[in-house]
Amino acid sequence: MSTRISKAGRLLDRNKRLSFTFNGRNLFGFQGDTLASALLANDQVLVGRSFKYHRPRGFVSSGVDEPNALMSLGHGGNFEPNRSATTVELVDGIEAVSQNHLGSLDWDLGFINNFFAKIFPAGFYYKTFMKPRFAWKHLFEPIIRNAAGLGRAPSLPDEAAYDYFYAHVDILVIGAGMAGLLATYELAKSGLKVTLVEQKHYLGGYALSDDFEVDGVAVPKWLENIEKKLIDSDNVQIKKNFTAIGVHDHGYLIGCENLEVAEKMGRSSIRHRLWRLRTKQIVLATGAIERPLIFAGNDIPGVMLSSAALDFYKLYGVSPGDRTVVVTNNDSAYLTAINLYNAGLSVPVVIDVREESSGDLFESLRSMGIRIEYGKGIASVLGKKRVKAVELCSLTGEGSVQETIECDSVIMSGGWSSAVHLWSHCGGRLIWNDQLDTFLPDASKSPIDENGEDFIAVVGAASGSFWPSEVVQNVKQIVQKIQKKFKTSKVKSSSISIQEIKYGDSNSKYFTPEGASEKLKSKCFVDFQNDVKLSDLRLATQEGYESVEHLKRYTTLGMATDQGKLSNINGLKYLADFLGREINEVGTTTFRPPYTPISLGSIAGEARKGLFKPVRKTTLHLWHEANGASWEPVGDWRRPYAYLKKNETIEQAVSREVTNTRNALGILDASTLGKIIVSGPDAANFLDLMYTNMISTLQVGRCRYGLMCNENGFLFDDGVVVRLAEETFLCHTTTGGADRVYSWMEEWHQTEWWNKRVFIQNVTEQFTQITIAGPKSRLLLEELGGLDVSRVSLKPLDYLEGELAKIKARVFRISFSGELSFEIAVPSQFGLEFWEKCLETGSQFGISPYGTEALHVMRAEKGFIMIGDETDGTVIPQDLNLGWAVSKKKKDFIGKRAQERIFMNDPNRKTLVGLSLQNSSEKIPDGASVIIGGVDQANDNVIGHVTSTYFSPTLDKPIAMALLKDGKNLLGRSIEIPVDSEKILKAIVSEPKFYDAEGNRQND
Amino acid sequence: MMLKVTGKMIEVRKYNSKDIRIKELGGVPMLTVRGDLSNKRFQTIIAKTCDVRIPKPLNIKSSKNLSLAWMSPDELLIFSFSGAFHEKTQKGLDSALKGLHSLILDVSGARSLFLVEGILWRELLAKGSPVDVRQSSFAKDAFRRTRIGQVSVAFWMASDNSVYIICGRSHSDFFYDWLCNAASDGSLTKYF
Repeated sequence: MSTRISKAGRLLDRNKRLSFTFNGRNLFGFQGDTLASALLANDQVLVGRSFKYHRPRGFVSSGVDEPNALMSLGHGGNFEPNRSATTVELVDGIEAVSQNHLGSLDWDLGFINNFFAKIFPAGFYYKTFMKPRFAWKHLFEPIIRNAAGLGRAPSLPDEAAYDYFYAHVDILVIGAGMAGLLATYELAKSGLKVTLVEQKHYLGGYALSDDFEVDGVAVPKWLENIEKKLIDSDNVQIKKNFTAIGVHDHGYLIGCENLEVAEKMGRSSIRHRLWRLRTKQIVLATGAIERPLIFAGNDIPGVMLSSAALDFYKLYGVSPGDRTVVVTNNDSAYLTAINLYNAGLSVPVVIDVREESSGDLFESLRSMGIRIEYGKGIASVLGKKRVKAVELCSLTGEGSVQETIECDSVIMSGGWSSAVHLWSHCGGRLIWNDQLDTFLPDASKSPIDENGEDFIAVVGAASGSFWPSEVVQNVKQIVQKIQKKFKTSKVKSSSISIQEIKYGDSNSKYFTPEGASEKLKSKCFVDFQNDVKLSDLRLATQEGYESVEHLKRYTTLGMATDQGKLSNINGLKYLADFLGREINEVGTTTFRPPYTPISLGSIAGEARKGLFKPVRKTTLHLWHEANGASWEPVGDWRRPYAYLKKNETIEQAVSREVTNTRNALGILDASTLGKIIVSGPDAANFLDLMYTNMISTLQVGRCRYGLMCNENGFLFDDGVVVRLAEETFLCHTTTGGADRVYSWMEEWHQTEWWNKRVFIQNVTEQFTQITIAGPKSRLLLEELGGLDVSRVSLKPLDYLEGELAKIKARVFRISFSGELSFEIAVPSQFGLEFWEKCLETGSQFGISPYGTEALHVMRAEKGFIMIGDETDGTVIPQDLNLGWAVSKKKKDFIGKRAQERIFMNDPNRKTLVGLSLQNSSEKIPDGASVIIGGVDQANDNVIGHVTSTYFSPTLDKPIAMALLKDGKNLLGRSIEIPVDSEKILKAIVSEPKFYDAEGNRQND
Repeated sequence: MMLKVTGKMIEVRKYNSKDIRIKELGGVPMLTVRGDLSNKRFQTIIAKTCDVRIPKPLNIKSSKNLSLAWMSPDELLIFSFSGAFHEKTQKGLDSALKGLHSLILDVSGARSLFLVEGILWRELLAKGSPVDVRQSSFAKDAFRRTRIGQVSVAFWMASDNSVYIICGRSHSDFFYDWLCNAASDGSLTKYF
């Protein structure tokens, strides 16, 4: 069994017992444990079920590469699925639950899939689409949906807090193993500022579990000394629990800091923090990841990597089992065997797929009297939920069993893969190294920064320097290179003496036995989390999936949450063997961020609930809120849709507001309209290019309705342009278009017409803009006093500036409602004061505020268009009968040439018309299709669609506008609007002007 | 540097956490001045009218009566320390710059001003802004136009332990909430 061993456990504080639960069972661990080590110490070897076949699974690794031990943590608003137990630092009170089983972990009903493995071959998902036809819907989809997914999705909103942190650092060292620590130390010594990040909760990496000596002391002690020096150094910053998850252009790095322990201890209110680092130089010291060997039953709980077993033993004092069989193709498993033996545990045999080996570790094993079997492999591991024995076989051959060896754990090593993920994220190339049996960064094609210089250096095992003395040499070289790049004063690198240890050569065998039968192959797992077996790879390659990218997608090899950290290379080796090619030719799949999964919360950061998206508010927002506003989002703003009085429906309120404005006096907050000042000697000329109509002929003190098209001729914004002074214009835009129009003008000015002398300034927020509309609006302005707003002095489309009610104001006589109307802009600071004065003074005239819906009803009654209703990005002004606003005299304006295309002048283009219902008070559905000649299957009879539709309280009937093919020739004709399969409304086409077509009211 | 507004600045609202004090301040008049900052005549007129030379790019400078911030190669922002001086400056610039392609606009109502105080103010900025706020890059007189979270802002140091931030007025409620959240207890760790 797996149990705690008293004489090991470097990271533990045995005085601090922590309690936690697993599947409801109370268990204990110590401070310093990971959830994984604590579970293993409690002999919890079975920790999860596999994705497809629901096979029992145990720990394979001790770190981020763990494929099996995914768990759900916490409950309620703190529930988080799919956490790898090997990366969770134990704290008091953790509630962990295993995943992916129907029923209990021990008795999983889904395990039945295991016996139907034949119906889940490689590509089974795609095959289920093929035939028989009915099977996908009725058989496969329900089964797959039921089986799919790992942990459950949380059912409650996340209670934790997350945030971002932006920082600029000079040198970032990623990984605090021996290489990373040494590189940090040496770089800091030369005065450089270094930030060292480490994904684990301790520094030292695999070296912390190793046994060699440095400078005459055991390596853990030596690492500890370096750590102390770094902590004391002013120019070093160390971040533990920090995973670099992605490297991007120009030294931009995203990392995730896990603050769960600090949060539990009350030291942080943040759970995960997403770091966005701008670096000048990145040093990758990400180490290497040990690979499994492939043999039948290599997924049975109790089979783990030799490095994991060594970590569990050395760092946490946990044994993998009492009797451990070792199987390896290199020396690193020897080290684990020696340690387990020295701990008093039994190592019945070391199975070595090599023909022979030599070196110091070999000598130690031999002197201990441990049995070594060369040129052998494992035919099969016996056991279901726990290893019971292994069957020894010859490496060559089909796997006939030579001997059955009882054991309760198996540790394996299939060699090491350098952790080159981050190198690849930003374009670094990889090359396969046959001798070291791994992909390595190709220094001749490294990621480059904005100056075309390398910004990533790689040290230690990540660069192929696997042995301690190589690490020291390699770090020395890289540090010198960086010192040169940063032009630091020369500092001699420390002389470090490494205990000389001779290691035997590794070989590249990755599965046993070499001639494994199909039956054995179907139990040989390559990818644990996604249940990809050698037999699946065989089938896929046989079916023609010979590209590594296809193989991945067809078999799901490397597609799980661990992204193939353990499985990719073994899969590639198989593919290369099958195709008879070199691994370099086969290539590898693309590594993409994130290196390890991170929480969705950390990506969202603080942008949740009220902070999800900015809401813009006018100066009158609070007033609206206090006076019954029902809000409508417009752009980022909130505008009152209508002001509800007691017991009033929205429809009633809109109707009341329209009627009151038409008959007496209405007031509207129009502050959200964009206001852009364009000023300079070339302003008139510039605006002639921006707008379709002529702006340069506008007189000072006058307003003109203007249209803006994009370069394809399509209408995208409209508004009133005012000439404030000879060289200064005020351009009004739509609410949603304000920022876009401002950027649009700036872009054309900066890139195309940069020689025009204009300044463009967005002053939208400087003004509170208020519309006073209705037959009594002039009376109100006169009562407010200060400006002559008589018919003679302020004609339609005139503009005046002065003081109204003793507040500095601009008055524009423009109307979007069709009533006599004035828009008044006052500086924002005085907005509320002015609004309240208007209401107070206007009460004698029956003033009442109106919202956006009343505004829209009134403009529709008048047939005025709305950007976004009557336009959809494919509409030109001419379609909307606005051809009069498109200048024919101007030599150029944006959209002019596009509008000369034949298509734009097609008489069949859709044209804006009005629709009136015959004998019905029903509202026409917005967006509905308009047809002539009845519903037909092919939709050939569709001639357009409804763009705006309202019930007009003024006319007491529904009105609508529509864009109809050849609309001009349809006037007076009857058309149909299908509402649903039963109902078809009949309407008459009219001019899109329903009320006061002559404009007598607004021109009063 | 501090905006030495005569009389008391209006304190619109405030929030204190363990590490940070946040205030929204009102009543600081602002002027936008557009013009070619490299033009000698323009430089002279600014220096004469404002009693301070145009600051270097990404900087802010103050005289007795105002602070002058570099916004872009053709834009300045003036924070006046009194309403009277604000009007005087606007009028002065209007007449002095006549004939020179330029634009002077009163933008006193267009922006909201916040003062964030406390030793962890750099950390607070770093939660939302990609600007390099290390002491070595962002010190006294530095002025940055950037974003914090999803809001466009500009900020500069008020003192060693405080920073001014301006944002568009319509965003001030949202931004205030953002600041309070970022300042909340337990969410700031000493970094700089």
